[in-house]
Amino acid sequence: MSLEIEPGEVLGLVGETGSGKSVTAYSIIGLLKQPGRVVGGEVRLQGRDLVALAESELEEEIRGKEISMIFQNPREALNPVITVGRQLTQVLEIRRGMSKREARQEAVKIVKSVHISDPESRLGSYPHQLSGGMAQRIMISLALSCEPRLLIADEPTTGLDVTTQYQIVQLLRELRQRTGMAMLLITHDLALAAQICDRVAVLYAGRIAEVGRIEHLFQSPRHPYTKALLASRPRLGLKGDIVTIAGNVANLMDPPGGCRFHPRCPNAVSVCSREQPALEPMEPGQRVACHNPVGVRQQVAASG
Amino acid sequence: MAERAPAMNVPMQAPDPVMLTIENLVKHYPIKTGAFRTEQVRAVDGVSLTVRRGETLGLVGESGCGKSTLGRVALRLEPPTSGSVRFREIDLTRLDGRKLRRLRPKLQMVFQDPLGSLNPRMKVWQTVAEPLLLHRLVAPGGVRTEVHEMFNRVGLSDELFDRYPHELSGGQQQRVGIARALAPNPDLVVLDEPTSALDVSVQAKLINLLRRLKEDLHLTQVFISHDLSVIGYLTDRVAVMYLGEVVELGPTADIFTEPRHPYTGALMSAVPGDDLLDRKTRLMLPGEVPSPIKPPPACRLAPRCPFAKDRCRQEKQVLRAVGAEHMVACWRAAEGEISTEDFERSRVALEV
Repeated sequence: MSLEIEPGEVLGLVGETGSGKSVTAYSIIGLLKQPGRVVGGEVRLQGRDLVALAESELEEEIRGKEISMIFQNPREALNPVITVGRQLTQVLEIRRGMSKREARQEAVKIVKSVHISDPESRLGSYPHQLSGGMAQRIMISLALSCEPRLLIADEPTTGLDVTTQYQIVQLLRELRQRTGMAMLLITHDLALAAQICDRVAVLYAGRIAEVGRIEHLFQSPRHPYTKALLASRPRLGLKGDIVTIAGNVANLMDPPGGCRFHPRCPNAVSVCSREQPALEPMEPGQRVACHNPVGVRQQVAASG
Repeated sequence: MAERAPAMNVPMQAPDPVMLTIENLVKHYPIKTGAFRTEQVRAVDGVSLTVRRGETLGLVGESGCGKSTLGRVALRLEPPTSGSVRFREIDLTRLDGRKLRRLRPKLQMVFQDPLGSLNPRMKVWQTVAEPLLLHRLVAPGGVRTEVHEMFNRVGLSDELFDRYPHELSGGQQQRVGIARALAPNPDLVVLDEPTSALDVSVQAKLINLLRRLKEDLHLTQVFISHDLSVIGYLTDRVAVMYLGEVVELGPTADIFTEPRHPYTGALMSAVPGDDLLDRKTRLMLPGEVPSPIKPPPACRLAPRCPFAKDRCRQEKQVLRAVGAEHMVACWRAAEGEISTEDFERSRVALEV
């Protein structure tokens, strides 16, 4: 798996359960749970290999400082017995060496920047007193407190109400614009990815199936898996069956040889079961790991 | 009551008989908010609805709007605080335990969490067989054949007969849940977010199955979901809930293309269209859903509604007809002051 993110860019990691999207993200900041480990490869942050760093170095210099993370269940990620204000000022005091007073002022400033009204009283709340959307805003404040270069957002709007989801999406886009930080968005939700990402990597069974600019992937998907994922959405007024993908997600304990998608692939040819396809550039501009990609002509026929 | 008024304007063919009638249903849960204080969570607060035979009614709304509670009370899995639930002509709220048990096979539910709703110590075929044996719907000798047929119906292979729930994938577990609910040949099925815990590709197959079952078996269903795309695809009518109340009710196509309540307008502006890349504008509602302990006194959306006037903060809103079968609990919409076009005009784009 090889990926790069430019400063100020939003890259989406899109995939289903077991596709490896979270594992990839957790590997980046060395948070893989035992017995998982990074067996090989590098994670470079502006030239520095993070895999080679000691745990103490990661903790001191990278996590929360250079790279921050927000999660799906913000209320669970926050400390339940300390006010959210204290959680924020603690970070500012320890990580940015601020005095209590400076930290307090900075906390109010950060919380205002994520559009929390009445910041003074909100900072005095405990996590359980916050709504889901408010807790996610606090989580984002914490993540931003050290001005990271990269924000990893793991399903940041899953579980939030529809009307709140949009507010968080809008906030993330605004922050990226304002701070210039890069963002890695992990999601199973294609519609969310479309709202916020510049580029997307579609993962299947631990490998990248297709990666490129979002308009290339969504308008002219070349990997049969990408195309099927996009087609398998229910919609109002849709007649007949939704297009589905045959079979089940590959078992990662014993993945199929060759291309891992081949047993389910409508385009599979004999070479697919033997050789793992490499990621290669394809029209109109993405990179695709497929021996027999969806043709551009096939696209037109399918959408017309 | 009011809900049936517009139906009378529709002439011709007799409508399907009503299977479920919910009237003024209220469900409050007491919670302790201090040493000597309890307050009421107004989960469902005065809902009236009907479901006709062969129809799928969608219940949509955000978390805490009371849609799941309404589903559970409708099947009398919980008693209501007040109001009535009639199944055909039978008042479920007045039935004693024994009579209710006898009705159980006719009233079934499918839950969101497939693993949590299956008995972990039972082989999955026994899980499907259990309601059949419990209610003596088939002779013990014939039960395996019956289960085999149900497995077939929901697309489960017979090889899975003797497995335990944890040995199945999420999609397979949910199919077992559906097989168990359908085995007693129910008259009414409530499905509470049946596809929400599943991956996109698994979800698509299950949705196809649900659509086919509905058509083949002419099922009467209440389909609860926060996923509007699924609701748009699978339901005939939709009731939109906000903070324990139904704010809009109507045929699915009308609700999606011509929402009349500002809340419905906001929800519908969030439904992804055919082109996912269309970073479309939304009707924004500021803030979040308030607590159901102290809901706003008059119209419950008023504090967040961009169209609210003084009257909205003073007058409780009731469902009023705005079209054939289409009702809305907003006086401005009912009196023609605001329409779907106003929602379109008030949409804002992402500011980037």
